[in-house]
Amino acid sequence: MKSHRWYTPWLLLAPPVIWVLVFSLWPFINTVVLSFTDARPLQPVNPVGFAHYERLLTDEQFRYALITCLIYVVVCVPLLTIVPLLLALLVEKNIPGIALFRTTYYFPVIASVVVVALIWGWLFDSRGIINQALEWMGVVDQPVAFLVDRWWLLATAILLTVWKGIGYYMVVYLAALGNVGKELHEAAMLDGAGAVRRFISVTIPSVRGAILLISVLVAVSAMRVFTELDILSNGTGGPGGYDMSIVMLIRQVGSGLNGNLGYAAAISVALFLLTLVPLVAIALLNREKKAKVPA
Amino acid sequence: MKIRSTLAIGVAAAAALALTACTGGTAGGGAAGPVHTSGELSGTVQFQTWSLKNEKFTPYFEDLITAFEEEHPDVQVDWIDQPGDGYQDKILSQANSNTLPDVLNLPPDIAFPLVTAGKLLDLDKADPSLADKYNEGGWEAYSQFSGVEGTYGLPWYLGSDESWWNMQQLEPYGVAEESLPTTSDGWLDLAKQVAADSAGKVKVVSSMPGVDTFVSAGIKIMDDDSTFVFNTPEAVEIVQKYADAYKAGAMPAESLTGSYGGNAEMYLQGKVAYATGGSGFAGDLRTKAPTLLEHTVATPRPGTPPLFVQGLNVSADSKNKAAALAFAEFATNQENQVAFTKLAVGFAPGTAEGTDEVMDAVSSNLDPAQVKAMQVMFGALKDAKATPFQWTGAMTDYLNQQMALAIRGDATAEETLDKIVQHANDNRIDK
Repeated sequence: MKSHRWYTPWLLLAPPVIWVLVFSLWPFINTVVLSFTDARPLQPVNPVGFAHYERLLTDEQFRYALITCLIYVVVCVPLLTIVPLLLALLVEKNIPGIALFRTTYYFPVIASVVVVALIWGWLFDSRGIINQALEWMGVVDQPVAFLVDRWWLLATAILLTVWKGIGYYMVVYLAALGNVGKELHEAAMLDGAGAVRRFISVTIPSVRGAILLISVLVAVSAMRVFTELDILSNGTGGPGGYDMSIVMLIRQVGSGLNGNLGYAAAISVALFLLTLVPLVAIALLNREKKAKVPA
Repeated sequence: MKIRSTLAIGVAAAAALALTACTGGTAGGGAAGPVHTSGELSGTVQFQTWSLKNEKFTPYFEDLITAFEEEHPDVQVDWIDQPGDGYQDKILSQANSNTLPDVLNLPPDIAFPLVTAGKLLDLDKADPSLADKYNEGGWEAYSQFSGVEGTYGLPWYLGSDESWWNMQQLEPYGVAEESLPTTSDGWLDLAKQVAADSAGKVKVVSSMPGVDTFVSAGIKIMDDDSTFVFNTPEAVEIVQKYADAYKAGAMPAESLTGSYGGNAEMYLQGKVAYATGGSGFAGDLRTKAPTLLEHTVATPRPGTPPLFVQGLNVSADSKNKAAALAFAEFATNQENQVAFTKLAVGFAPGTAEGTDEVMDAVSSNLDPAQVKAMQVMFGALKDAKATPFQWTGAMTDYLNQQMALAIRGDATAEETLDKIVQHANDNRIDK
């Protein structure tokens, strides 16, 4: 029987390897290299060493973008990790009509984020329905500057992200909860554990994997937030650019016929490193917890 | 060990390739030299427009190309049209890959980086007789690229802005058409008075000050060295007046994050009683807010009106420069520009003459408000001035962000202008 030729495995591997090299590794290397140059469209490229990285340390715009993204992470991670779990517990039971609630909670996930952000822009406008309602109820005398004030704009964008993400993560938790054995809850009940105690001691440890996964996903996407802030601030990042995210800053710096591609690449590399932080932290946390589980 | 050295070589090679990846052009000014268009012309000319292939304009361009091909039977013109969005990126990719069309439509700000990279033909050198045939301001807009001699575009169609007033909102507060302010100061004073009388319900300031505001006020934007210098006491005074108007309730909060088009949009929604826009805005009013049109009055913008220029350019790398230049001249001659601007209602031809001809032709088909708006705009064109093309979109973004702080009172006008000018000089396109 004739054996396979030596290159057969390489041929089989070639399509995915070429794909990864061309569409992942090459752009990544290109971005890193560009970050050490003064590249601009149509201009000769010269190396500038670490100048762009030094500029990052003092760049006011980058500082604001970083603060915005970190606040996004700090607020979104707990909200989008805990609220969908509670919601999943509510809709987990197979009672008549529950499918309607599950579907309703999932609706925001289906809607395009661009369309949703535009609608939220109208709702929170100074003459939008939210301000009109607040004025009608006598809560405020003047419209609240939801889309102009630094903190209100950030809060509105975070609310949108949370509202839109809850349904998706709820479905992930529903799948995880489906794998939790009923006998664990029954045993805990026999031991006298109440609902809260069972939630803490049975449910949470059982869906720990899902919690970690969701935390990582939310943290990474919060660091890379773009659409919500871009549309609600009309692409400006709000007064002073205080509500600009890092991705928005990359676009502002790097786009156009005079885009500073080198500096935009340096910000991209910084964003890459920043997104690694929650990944590594959660991976370490996971390993630590596993190590503590008794044999 | 072997793997490590192979990897190192691979990374080094990739780095070297990456380093060369975005160099698309030759450094320095544009290609130059006389180009003779009078002899026998032949070959193919690629002609690129910007979002003009549609029901309204396609027949015009087809007729234009047919007429040119009849004059030059051995020339074939291939017309391509690019979508409105992402045009700059498309141009960039064409320039980087040396696939710029022979004749293309570029406004001066988009043309400038291509000029510095030597991608466009110097039309003044190619045919020195051209200058007198075009609108002076339009010709200048393609001739004053800092550090580069020559002219790199033929003015094609021109526009300007005017002031639009909603008299229905203003009349209850004693504002009459005859007494509408003609100066920026008068307008800002009126805005504060109306805001006070209406308890903030009627807002007359719809956008933040921009570079065009300073151009309009006659403030010097750049010095001879192309350094931005508009952080003057006069500019500080203007910004402070806007801040006072905002404080008095004369500006909607959304204007602090609004784009240029946003102020017209707010006018259409009835959020503001004043907007700036071209004469084509009357058409928007007629279709989107017809009841508003009858209460709207158009007047010249106070100060120096802005000039918006579109032009046709010829690629320096064209394999068929003579035919390309001949077609660009043909498309922008008075007869063809007049025919074009009769369709593109609200714009004026970029030629030295022809506006009266357009006015006579279109006035019988338009409603009186639009005719008046066109008269106002055409009248303004002789004094209109373009914003320096060295001022980029990214600079505008930064200006808007910082200006919003000054208008809200979170930063002083002086600090804000200093920051904006510093940022613009740090990011100069010609440095």
